[in-house]
Amino acid sequence: MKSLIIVAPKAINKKMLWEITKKLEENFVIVGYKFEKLDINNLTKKQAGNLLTQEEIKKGLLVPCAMIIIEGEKTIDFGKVLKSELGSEIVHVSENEEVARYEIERFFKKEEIFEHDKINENVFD
Amino acid sequence: MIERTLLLVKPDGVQRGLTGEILKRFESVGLKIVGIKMVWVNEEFAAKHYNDIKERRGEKVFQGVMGLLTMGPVVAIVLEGVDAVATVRKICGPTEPKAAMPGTIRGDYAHVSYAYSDLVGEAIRNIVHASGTREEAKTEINLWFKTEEMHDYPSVHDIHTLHHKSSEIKKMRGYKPDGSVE
Repeated sequence: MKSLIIVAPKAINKKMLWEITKKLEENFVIVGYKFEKLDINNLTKKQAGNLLTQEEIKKGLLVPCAMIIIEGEKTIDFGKVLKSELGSEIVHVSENEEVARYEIERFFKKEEIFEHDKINENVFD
Repeated sequence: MIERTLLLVKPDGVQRGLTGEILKRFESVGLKIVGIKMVWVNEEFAAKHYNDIKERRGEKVFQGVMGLLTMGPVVAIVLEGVDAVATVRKICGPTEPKAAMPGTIRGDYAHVSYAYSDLVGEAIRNIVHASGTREEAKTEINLWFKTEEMHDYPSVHDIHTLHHKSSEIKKMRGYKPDGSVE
């Protein structure tokens, strides 16, 4: 199961990207990673309000976000815990499987997603 | 003085789950992340990246590093800061993990020697690649990133690390005082 995590501008500014990336790769395989200024037209009002401050929206979204696709078991549940821990102004996570599929398709092209394994986990296979 | 450089978390680093730990070191010193993307390159692309290795180090080394770069996805990162090329190289440590001091990426996450990798007939797994010179950085950034994949943006570290006043940053980045972009 794949899920999308968006690391908001505020987290990038706070230099928290490493921390979130580490949490994700400790638990899952990262199969997509990009760094983009969010196109506000691609967001619902609620998403935009959570991820960006009013000032950022007004300024035209100056600070980029990191978008990360994780793959593994219970990615959705993990995302919910992460969001409650860090706050919705720090990360956006896919709410359910259907939303995850939709969001991944919206932000990523097929050729930007890479199926692969972590070395650590398949040594004895 | 403020320059950009390319850092690759190579497939061995990505598969070991070291991307976050590697990012930490660059975020901590106040280098700005200008671009990041995961990409799985083919042999043709890898040959462009390692275009001078065959001449410098021979066919065997060339085949070895090509194999390592193409065995899985890479996380490519563009970093910006004062003397970024040298700073990033310093944080990575020397090419041979055996020679890399603790505290550097290669010193902390690898230990093998050239002699060992020669013995097993593999290229050395040293987790990261970093541009060697400013010229190399320019060429490599152009190879790995499109202009629209890199982002200029104001950050708190512009103030803390580079001692800019916030009004200067806005001017420097081309933002008008009212917050709109020129």
